[in-house]
Amino acid sequence: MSVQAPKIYTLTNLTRSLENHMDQTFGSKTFWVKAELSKVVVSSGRRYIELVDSEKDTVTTKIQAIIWGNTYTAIKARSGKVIDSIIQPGNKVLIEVKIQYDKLYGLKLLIIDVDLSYSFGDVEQLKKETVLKLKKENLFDNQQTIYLPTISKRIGLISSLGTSGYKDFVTELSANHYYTNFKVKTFDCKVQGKAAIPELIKAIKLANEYDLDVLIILRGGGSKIDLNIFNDYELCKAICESKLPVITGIGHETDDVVADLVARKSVITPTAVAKALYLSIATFNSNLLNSYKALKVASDNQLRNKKEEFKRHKKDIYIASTSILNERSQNLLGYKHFITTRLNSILRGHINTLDVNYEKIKLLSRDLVKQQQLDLSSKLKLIDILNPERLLKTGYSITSVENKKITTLDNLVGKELKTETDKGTIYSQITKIKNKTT
Amino acid sequence: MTSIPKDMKYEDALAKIEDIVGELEQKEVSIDELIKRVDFAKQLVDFCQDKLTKTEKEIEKIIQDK
Repeated sequence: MSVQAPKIYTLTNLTRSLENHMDQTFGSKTFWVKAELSKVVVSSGRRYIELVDSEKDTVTTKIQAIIWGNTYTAIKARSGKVIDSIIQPGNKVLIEVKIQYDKLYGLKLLIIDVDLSYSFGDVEQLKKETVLKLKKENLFDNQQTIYLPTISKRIGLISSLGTSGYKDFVTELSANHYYTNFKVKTFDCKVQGKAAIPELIKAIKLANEYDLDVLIILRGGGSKIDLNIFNDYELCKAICESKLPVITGIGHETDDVVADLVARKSVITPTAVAKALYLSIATFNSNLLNSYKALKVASDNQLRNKKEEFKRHKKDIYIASTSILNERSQNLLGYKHFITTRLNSILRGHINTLDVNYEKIKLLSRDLVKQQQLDLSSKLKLIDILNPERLLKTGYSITSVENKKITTLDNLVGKELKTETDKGTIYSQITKIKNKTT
Repeated sequence: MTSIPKDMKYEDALAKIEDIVGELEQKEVSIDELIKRVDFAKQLVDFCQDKLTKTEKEIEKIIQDK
């Protein structure tokens, strides 16, 4: 039995045959394929891509793919710049491909279209999962319990130095007309691609070791896919667990990323973050000034009111006191009048008493004198009546013995009897006495 | 003649006057004493009137001053 020698082909024959076969089999067909972009190299407008598929973190398939320059331009014209962020390593994509085998370049998938909504759906799915997980772990609202100082001057800045977002922030912060005296501690790190995630987490943890008022995470403009790192669970968890209040300034135009949702505050752009910081201080200053003005106005008003009130009281007091004084003065005048009247009355009383007494004295003394005069007069008359000479003149005589009044007739005989008459004295001898018969 | 002591009080003077009036009313005064009594009474009355006039003026002055 003879052994038939195998048919020998040239490689070209084989690859041409394969090429023809592939072309006949898949040439006009297109397929929608889900895959992850593991490598992307841009060259002369073309995207050279390595597509992979994996199960449980193990790559199960790997194949090269290409987007021709004109195809990429067409997709970009239709979908916008977002395609740039979708065609990035690590992203999962839904792509329409043609299978092409070229005897020189081998097997390749020609990417002819990209389903943007699939990539976006992946973003949304990641967002959803991260939110659910953080909520389940009670971390989601952590930042909302942290006090965000109104005056945040010591700023921790997590950003990629030199990027436009960083420059916008620093320029706005240092060249505004409101407040510029900020102290910025910068933590330089990547903010693009999956590699940025561990750097951002490390920067957040490091920043928490500093004495800062606030921690800013900045990322300039980017597409939904670009910003998808800010939906990462570990990064968002680090934000939740930050003791410093975190403000995100992630430049996006439409939907929030989870980092925005968990941060203490989120602002739409880096410039807006800077504005928020100095405006907060400016607003505080302005409020303080307004409050001061309001307080001053209020206190001035109150002072004025009190002054008016005081004036009224002063006037009232003056009127009341004047009235009281007048009343008291009238009373005093009354008392004075009363005292004067009483005094006059008392004095008149005394004067009257004196007058009466004096008049009495005068009257009584005169009476007394007159009485004495009368007594004297009557006595004089009596004397006159009793005058012996008056008796002698009327013819009577006065007889005496030894110049004594005759009081007894005894022993008179023989004695000389003296008889005085108006004409002369008669002396005679007593010879006989005859007693009166009773 | 009896003269008024320097430290004589108005009330005492008035009482003295009333005593003299009483004596005169009772006619207890002899003629010899009468002149003395009346003279003393006149002195007492003048004293009292003087006292009253001074008191009145003093009070008037006090009231006017106030």
